[in-house]
Amino acid sequence: MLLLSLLGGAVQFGYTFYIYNQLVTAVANGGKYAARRTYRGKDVEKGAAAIRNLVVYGDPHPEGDAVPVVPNLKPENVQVKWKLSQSGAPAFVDLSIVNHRIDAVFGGISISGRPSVEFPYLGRYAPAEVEPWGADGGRIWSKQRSCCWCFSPCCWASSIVAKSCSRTRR
Amino acid sequence: MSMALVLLIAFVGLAFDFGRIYVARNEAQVYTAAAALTAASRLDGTLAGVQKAREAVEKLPGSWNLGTQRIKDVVVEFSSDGSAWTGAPQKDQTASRPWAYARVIAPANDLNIVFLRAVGGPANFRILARTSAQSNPVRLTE
Repeated sequence: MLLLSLLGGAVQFGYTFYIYNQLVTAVANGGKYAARRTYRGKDVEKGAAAIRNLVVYGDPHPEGDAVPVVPNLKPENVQVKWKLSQSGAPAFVDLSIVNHRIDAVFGGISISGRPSVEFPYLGRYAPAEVEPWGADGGRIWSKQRSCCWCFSPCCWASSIVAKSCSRTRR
Repeated sequence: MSMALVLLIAFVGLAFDFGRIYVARNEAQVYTAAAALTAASRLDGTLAGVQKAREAVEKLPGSWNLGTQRIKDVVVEFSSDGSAWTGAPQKDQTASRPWAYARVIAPANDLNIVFLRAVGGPANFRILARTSAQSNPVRLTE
């Protein structure tokens, strides 16, 4: 019984630490991405959605069947906070994991507010701009999932070559 | 039997303590990267820029040990060429070679060892992290 308890504890803590470490790395990657991304003042929420997707899926515009880097992690578990300077330009971006539960073998551990990172904003500040593409990654995917279209010929060409039209995107 | 039990506890300790060390190192490294970028973004080549960089790093929140402890005793160093570092720049180098590099070191964060101590391991493990960055353009260099 004692041996089983020790082994179970080792597995439980080992897995929890592994997942937490994955979260630290994911949040750091998201912070670096957010720090360089153009801050478009008229589309802040779309930008934040792309940052959340990068933390969760490792891709700002993931495919519909993308798998999160950590089990059960969802974009709503990632909090993106901009700290603005007096001029309204972003000075820092703060990312943290909120209301997430790490499910290990014997029960789980809830975490909120950590891991968190704060990176200085180093990107281009564009207060009057909107995101050039939608939050879907720039393509408007048909409901039939058979073809896609957009206003750019190169988008047409690239999507046909990639034959990725049948996929939906987040 | 008792020998096997000691061995098992040692392996459990290995999983627990090394897991914490691994996480703590990652947390400290992420913090120093953010701090180095923050410092480099404030540098303008002058001593005033160096002071701004120091103040910005002091204000930057950073935690480790599963997000429970604040990173302490952070050292910020500066360089004009990325090789010779000083913690206390004395002269303005704008005209010749400006202060263009910042290096952040988190040298004094000791993690308490829980299990491995029972089988002869150390009581603490020092987590070291160091990152340098350059300004204009701001980027990590090490």
